[in-house]
Amino acid sequence: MDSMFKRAVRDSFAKLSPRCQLANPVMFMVYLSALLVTVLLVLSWFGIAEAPSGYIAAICVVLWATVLFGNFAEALAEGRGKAQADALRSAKRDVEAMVVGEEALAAAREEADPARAVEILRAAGRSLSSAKLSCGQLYLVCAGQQVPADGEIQLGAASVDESAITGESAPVVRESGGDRSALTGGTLVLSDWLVARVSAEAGHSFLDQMISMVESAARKKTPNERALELLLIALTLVFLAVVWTLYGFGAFSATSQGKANPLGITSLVALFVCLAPTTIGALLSAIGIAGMSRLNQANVLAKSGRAVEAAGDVDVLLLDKTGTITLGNRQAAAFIPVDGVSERELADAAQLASLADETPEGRSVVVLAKERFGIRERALSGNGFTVVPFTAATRMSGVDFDGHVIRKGAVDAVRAYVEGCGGSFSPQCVQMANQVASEGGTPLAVARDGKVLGVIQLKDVIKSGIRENFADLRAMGIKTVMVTGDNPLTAAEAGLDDFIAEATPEAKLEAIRRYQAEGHLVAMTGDGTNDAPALAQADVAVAMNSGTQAAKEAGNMVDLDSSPTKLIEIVRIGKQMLMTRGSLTTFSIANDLAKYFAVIPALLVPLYPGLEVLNVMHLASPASAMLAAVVYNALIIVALIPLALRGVKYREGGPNRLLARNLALYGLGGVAVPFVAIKGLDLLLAAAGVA
Amino acid sequence: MSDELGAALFEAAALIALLVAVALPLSSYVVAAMEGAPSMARKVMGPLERGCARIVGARPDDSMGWKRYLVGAVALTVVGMAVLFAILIAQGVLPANPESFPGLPADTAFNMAASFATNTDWQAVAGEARLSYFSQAVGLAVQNFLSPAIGIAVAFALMRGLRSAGAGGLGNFWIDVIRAVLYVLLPLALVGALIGVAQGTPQTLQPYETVQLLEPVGVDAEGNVVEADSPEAVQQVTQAVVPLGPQASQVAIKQLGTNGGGFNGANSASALENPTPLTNLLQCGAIMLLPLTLIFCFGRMVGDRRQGRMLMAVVIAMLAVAVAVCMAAEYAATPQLLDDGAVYVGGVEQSAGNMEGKECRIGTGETALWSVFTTAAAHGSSNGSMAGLTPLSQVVALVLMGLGEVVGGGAGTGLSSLVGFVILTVFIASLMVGRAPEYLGKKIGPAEMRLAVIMVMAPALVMLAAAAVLALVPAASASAGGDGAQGFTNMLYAAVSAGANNGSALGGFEADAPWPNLVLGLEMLLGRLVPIGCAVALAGRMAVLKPSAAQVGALSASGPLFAVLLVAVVLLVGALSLVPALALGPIALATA
Repeated sequence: MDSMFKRAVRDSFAKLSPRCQLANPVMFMVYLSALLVTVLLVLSWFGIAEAPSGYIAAICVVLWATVLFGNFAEALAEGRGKAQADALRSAKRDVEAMVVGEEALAAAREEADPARAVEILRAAGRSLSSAKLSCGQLYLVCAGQQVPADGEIQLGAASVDESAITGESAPVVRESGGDRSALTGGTLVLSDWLVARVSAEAGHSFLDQMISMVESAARKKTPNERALELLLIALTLVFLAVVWTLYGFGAFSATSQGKANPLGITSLVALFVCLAPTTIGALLSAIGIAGMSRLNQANVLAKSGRAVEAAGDVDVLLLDKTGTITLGNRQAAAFIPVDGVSERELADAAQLASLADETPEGRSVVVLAKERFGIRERALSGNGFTVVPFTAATRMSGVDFDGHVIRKGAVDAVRAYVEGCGGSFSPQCVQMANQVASEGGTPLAVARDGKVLGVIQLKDVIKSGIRENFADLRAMGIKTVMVTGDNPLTAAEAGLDDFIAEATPEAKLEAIRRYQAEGHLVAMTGDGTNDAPALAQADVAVAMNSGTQAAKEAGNMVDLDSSPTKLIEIVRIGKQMLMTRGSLTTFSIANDLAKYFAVIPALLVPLYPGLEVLNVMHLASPASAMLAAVVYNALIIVALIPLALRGVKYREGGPNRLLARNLALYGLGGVAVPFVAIKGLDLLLAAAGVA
Repeated sequence: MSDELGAALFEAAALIALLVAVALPLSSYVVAAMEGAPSMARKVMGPLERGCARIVGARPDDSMGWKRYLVGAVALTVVGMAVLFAILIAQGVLPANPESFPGLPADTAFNMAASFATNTDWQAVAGEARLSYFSQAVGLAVQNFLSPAIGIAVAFALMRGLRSAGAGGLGNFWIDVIRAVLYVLLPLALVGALIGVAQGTPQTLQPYETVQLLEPVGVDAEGNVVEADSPEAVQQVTQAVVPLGPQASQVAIKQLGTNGGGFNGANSASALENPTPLTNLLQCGAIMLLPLTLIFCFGRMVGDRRQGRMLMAVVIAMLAVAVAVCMAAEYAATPQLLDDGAVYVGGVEQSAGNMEGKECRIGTGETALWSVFTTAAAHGSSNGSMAGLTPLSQVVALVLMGLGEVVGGGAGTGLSSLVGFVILTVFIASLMVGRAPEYLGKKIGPAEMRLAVIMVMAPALVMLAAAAVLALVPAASASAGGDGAQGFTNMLYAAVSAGANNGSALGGFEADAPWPNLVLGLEMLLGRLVPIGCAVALAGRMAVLKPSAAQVGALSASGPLFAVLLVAVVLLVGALSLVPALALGPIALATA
């Protein structure tokens, strides 16, 4: 922190170059004002003075301080990103890559033994610096080596340490095919080996992108930022006109009465700097940079600030059910026997049928049987114990045990089985199954020797705290839509607003388009290649870092933690950025009222002594009033830096309540604070005998 | 509070309430008329509308994009100005000139042409002393109809743009102007003129009449009126010339179309233009009628009446404060006036309050109310001397004008400016609640902000620049009509009035001189065309934006909180730029 602080101080002087200043029009005007007063100061040393040299010097110092404080705010905001970029850069170094040919890959594919396969690859490989790798080349990376470049895994599976990028120390599995086939340059292979095809050359890799993102090197102003800047520029121009014309008005007022014009350039420049929206002008870029940096700290990389702002405005959120709303898979919740079978009998059969079923659903049946009736797991081997695995044809699984045939499966599959055995399917079972389904559960039927015993009720398990999350979202005005297949009741139970059945990629894309056509802004998360079209269509698309290259390319943000609920945090950060800008703008404009009461009497009392009644703060002298106003103007920037970096606190709640709160705090506060502060500074200045 | 002040405030409240009550149903009629919906009026005037449309070659279904619409609005303003300029220059050789007035000098004619074409109606010279009946009835009166019609047309274009579902044009400019004239301005003006004639306002083409004074008066060496038998009298006057002419028709549209330029220099303080208490009340109400009606039209047009009601509440609130301050200041007068015994506020032998510059028939309360209405509505007519107002009342008038036609404003242009401020407020408020700004479902991006910002800030810049030119150019500041704070107030008032397209003036200002004519004429054009250009361009941008879905968490741009913020933004952004100038002018006078 200390070094960051030092670096920021250094940078705030480096930013005094005109080129840096031009990027911020409001502060550029302050910069020019400071230059002008400096010239006046130098002239005053040669006797060409329009005001006491000491007064000009004081104003000059304060104006330069105003410029430096603005620079400092920006430098401090950039500091965090720079530190993070330095850490990332250390992960990025040239390594020797083992390049292999297509034939070697084909040969290795044929080889069943991984150890032999890697021998073949090694033999065919040649060494090349990672900086020279080009797209489409294949490379081999083995345990203990750093991945030389971003790639799409073609062969092999390995555990990879991605902590250099994600900060997460637990290794992840990367393998060819499927949604976990992306390999990021700079990560470390911990075990086994992989062959990957280069997908990004040096300089364009994910790591490079990350570095430039966190450094905000490629930072562009967002539309809202530009719109706000327009307002600030317009206000600045108006106040420039106010000050210029005031000189003329003063000249007329004085000469027509045969007096000298009391309005000096130094005082008018100081008035201009007081009135121009310097507070928000100085902090504007810091707010944006700090927002991005907060996002980075939440382990989200945004490709543009625009996406972050859009996130603040999203009103439809597409969430995958699995993992987001529910805990992975469904769990057995009850045994419902039919046709006079006892519950224990059903539980016993169900447990037997599930013993070999390693899916979470199967495990949950065993657990439930143990909890309810203390039925222990039995040995899976032994006489007459044959496991019948699930097949797509029968859509059932089970065991043949002790001469009994026990099956469990979807109700219609079991029905087909029972009827196939010549039995008739129990109507009570159908009724029970329907009831379970209507309550939002999934029924599984259990049969023994061609006779139905009952139904296992499987229920979605909703993650704890998720209801509150969605309630928060609703309060923000965001509609959450569950992307799932089966049942809308889970959606209702979790407090969701809508759901999309049959979540095929096309259905997702279609749904996004529909919402957008209605005028909504849609956000979604995705990881698979088949999510890419939907991600590309969504206004805010968060790709999981664990996902495929295609998904990452299509998204405009990457979540390094691969957490599906991260969107909620992104939305909050986006909103916070907007709120901070709005609140500080309000504060800045509201400040002008008090500044007028300080400065106008100070400037004009020599012309019209009666205007002393406007000096409601009873400031000691015109010079002290003027100085107090500009000093306040400079110090308030420093005082607000923490707020600009931290962001205005976001609270869920209706927009009107939020507006009332922020208006009271920053609007009324903006009116009141400068009265108190300017009076205080004036007392200090008078006590110090400065003016 | 004195009884007189209480009564005056009560009357003001009653009149404002009455106006709102009339504006509500009238807005329904105006929307139907402008949108071409079938109505009784259309049955009667339909053929005339179609005939006019055929003459200019316009079709209602030929909806224009913003560029064409703007070209129409600017072209009609410029051509109207050129025609008026020609008439004023050439009135000496034109018909209907019984008093044989010569043509106006070029600078005066330019100023007056710009003034009437921009709905300002600033009059550098008194009408009855310099203008022929032809210039009045064909020159000025035509502009008195066209300029508010252009304003109304532009306001409707803006409303259509805001309402558009994403692919709409803004309507046809020529049809809009024809409809505004035929359905809105003409019928109202006709009724107004008939009432005026019935109450005694002249409506004739006969020459001016000379009448015998009941009691002769004297004139001293400096031209002041004195007792006939006073030793200072150098001349006895026994006769007076009564200016006649088509006054009633002119007065009606001057009041209704936020024009304000009187037939006579004394405007509605003259007994001819404003003969009875009834005409005073009706004319005063007419000032605010269209501006308030258009606010309700806004709610109807954008399909959200709450918007109209919120804007109405904001305007009425600001108006009420202005009326209360102005009336209180007028009834209290100033210590200086009281010290000199110049005014008597006791209320026993004459109307109470500051009678300086008031018409005795009309009195303090009604003049104060009129003064606020006329400066709020970018109107500019007067029934007393604005220069006679106390400095505080002049501050109120200057602030109302300086806000840039927001508290009512000119017909149509006032609403457009108000929408500009609403967009600014929506932007700040949305940011404060963490949402991307949108108004009526339309996103506000940099381009929209640029237009809104220029629209609301251009008038202030123009006013300041003009005031600075008047103050700095010695030849121009000779017109100030005084020195120090008084002279500066006169000059500032002229610059602010012209920039706001208001047209009222402080009597001390010597308006008919080349510099003020030129500077103020340019100012009126800029103060009119820049905001209109921004409003139409904004309408065009809004028209192509697809509205986003109505959102649960969206900020309510019609709630009381938003209204409060809107007032704050209007005052801070609109008035802060004037504060230093006010301090050197009327505030310096008030605190002297």
